[in-house]
Amino acid sequence: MNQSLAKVQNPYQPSRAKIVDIRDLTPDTRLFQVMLIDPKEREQFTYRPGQFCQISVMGTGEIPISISSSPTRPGLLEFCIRKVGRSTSSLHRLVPTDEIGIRGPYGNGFPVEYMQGKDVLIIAGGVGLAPVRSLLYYILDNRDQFNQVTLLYGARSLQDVLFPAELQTLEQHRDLNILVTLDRGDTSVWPYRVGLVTELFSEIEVAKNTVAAVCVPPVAYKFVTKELLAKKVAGEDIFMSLERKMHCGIGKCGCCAVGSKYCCQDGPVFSYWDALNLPDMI
Amino acid sequence: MRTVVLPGSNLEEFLARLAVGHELIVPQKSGASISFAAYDPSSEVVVEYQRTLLPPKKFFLPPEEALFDFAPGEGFRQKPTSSERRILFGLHPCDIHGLRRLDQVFLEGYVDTYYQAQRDRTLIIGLSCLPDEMCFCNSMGTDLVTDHFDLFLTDLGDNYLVEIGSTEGNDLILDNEDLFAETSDILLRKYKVFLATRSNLFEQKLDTSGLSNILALEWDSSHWEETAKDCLACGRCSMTCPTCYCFTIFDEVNLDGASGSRCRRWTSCLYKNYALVAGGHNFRPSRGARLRQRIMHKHKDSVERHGISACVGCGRCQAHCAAGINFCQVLTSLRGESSESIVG
Repeated sequence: MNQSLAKVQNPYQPSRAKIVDIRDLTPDTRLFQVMLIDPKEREQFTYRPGQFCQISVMGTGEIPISISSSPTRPGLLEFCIRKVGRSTSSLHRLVPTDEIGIRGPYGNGFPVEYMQGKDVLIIAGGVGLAPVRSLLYYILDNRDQFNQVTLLYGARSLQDVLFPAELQTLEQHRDLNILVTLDRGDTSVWPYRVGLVTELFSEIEVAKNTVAAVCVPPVAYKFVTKELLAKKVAGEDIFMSLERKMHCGIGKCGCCAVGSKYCCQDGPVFSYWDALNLPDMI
Repeated sequence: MRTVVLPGSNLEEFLARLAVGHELIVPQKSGASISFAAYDPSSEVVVEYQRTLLPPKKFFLPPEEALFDFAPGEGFRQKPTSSERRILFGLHPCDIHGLRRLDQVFLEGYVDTYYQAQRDRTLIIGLSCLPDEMCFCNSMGTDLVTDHFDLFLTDLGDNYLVEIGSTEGNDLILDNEDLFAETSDILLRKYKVFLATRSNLFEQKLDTSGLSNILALEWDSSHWEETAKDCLACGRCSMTCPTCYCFTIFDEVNLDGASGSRCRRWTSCLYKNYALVAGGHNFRPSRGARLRQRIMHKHKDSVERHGISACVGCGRCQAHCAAGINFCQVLTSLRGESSESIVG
């Protein structure tokens, strides 16, 4: 008999949240601005860049989505959601004032304290910009705590660039270096780079004390980490936000296991050292 | 540990009394197999059996269960859970060890309140057993239990030696004192003989020394894909495993198209879609990679995460494998490969 003394809260219970605004980012990706309905829950909700939530659409199910907004800008939570499957499609059918369920935040997030006083090199591919956008704004809002900050971002085509207006505004920041590249593009419309995100490495200097934050499609990690190691970034200073199937988000359902680690609890941010140690990680 | 004696002839009466005021679950015949099922006075309780088809995990993590009801405007309302006192009778040491492993997963870190509620209302009465050709609990160190039960009965012929593992187990004895007797020296000697005799009966053996280290080194072994050629990826090994706990969460919608239930259901890492994410990327597309995942998780990852192997040696995976895969043999041949490579 396992008599537990304290009755604990049901960790699978979603909180009720309202969609405040939905913005089209690309033909298949939207930014959802969401507010927890209960004022007390809203006040208590704190998170780190790189953490994620389980988002529920009644009747469709739950999916893990990383938080795109920064904890330094409290208020609405932002989720950048690409329509790729059943649950994301039903999310895309919702309109402002519709209700969704939220559980979280879950996972470890990026080690922002460790990044302090160092150069931060952020590498994002496709919808991978979503979690690092949280990190980017966190850094901008605490700018004096970090050295040089660089964002390398690759999108499939011009119409797939997320947050183009924001990126343009951010490019004006003198203390921020942003390089964007397209896998394919018409160079008359797109006056910038065309090529894979890994090709941007030839354009940047990487200082000795650089920490990297990476969020790219699963197949791209091997190539990005190779470039980083070639630039002498230490394996333990490369932090990757990984994708896995996560049903519960709390280390119970087993589905996101990577070796002895759970992506939902021990990750989703892992270092390159973890990847060396756990062979099927990247 | 306090011990008493239950004369074998009193067992039937003891169970009949336990059924009053408790939901009593006992091993019973079910078709060609043995199954843990609800007791009723006409039930034929099977006290000598090797293994049930499904392990007792089904009472704590049901194959499918509703977590919430939902309806528009009402959010997710938790399904009420039963608090009726329940007794699981006849669990073998391997299955009790299996529950310990599940406790580590569901009660540590975030507490799974559904599992906890089932655990809290259940008393465990263990029962000794003799191995068949598939059992290898003595290789896994799970052939005996010293805790995680309320009572444990060892069959010593005419009598059961009863170990008392909790105050609630003790209460069951006190409430039925007329059925029990004091332990005698003869019976304790018989108990030691039983243990010695039983340990000689194991045909299936698994050398676990350094097993997780060897597995780590054999990540790229061709054995995985080779064995997977036979594997049907049916997931039977997971469903019948006392420590496999993976589940998926999904919504079931009522006929009104709006209200419904949020449910969870057992799944298996052998299934093709287990590691498939939206967008079409599959992290374990090959059957070999999925078979490796299952074996690694049992014998290596759990050791790293919980300090203990997740395999309890009950033999269900190999007894029920539709393709006849013997997991002990797979592990033994992986070990063999490592020693050959030194020689070669």
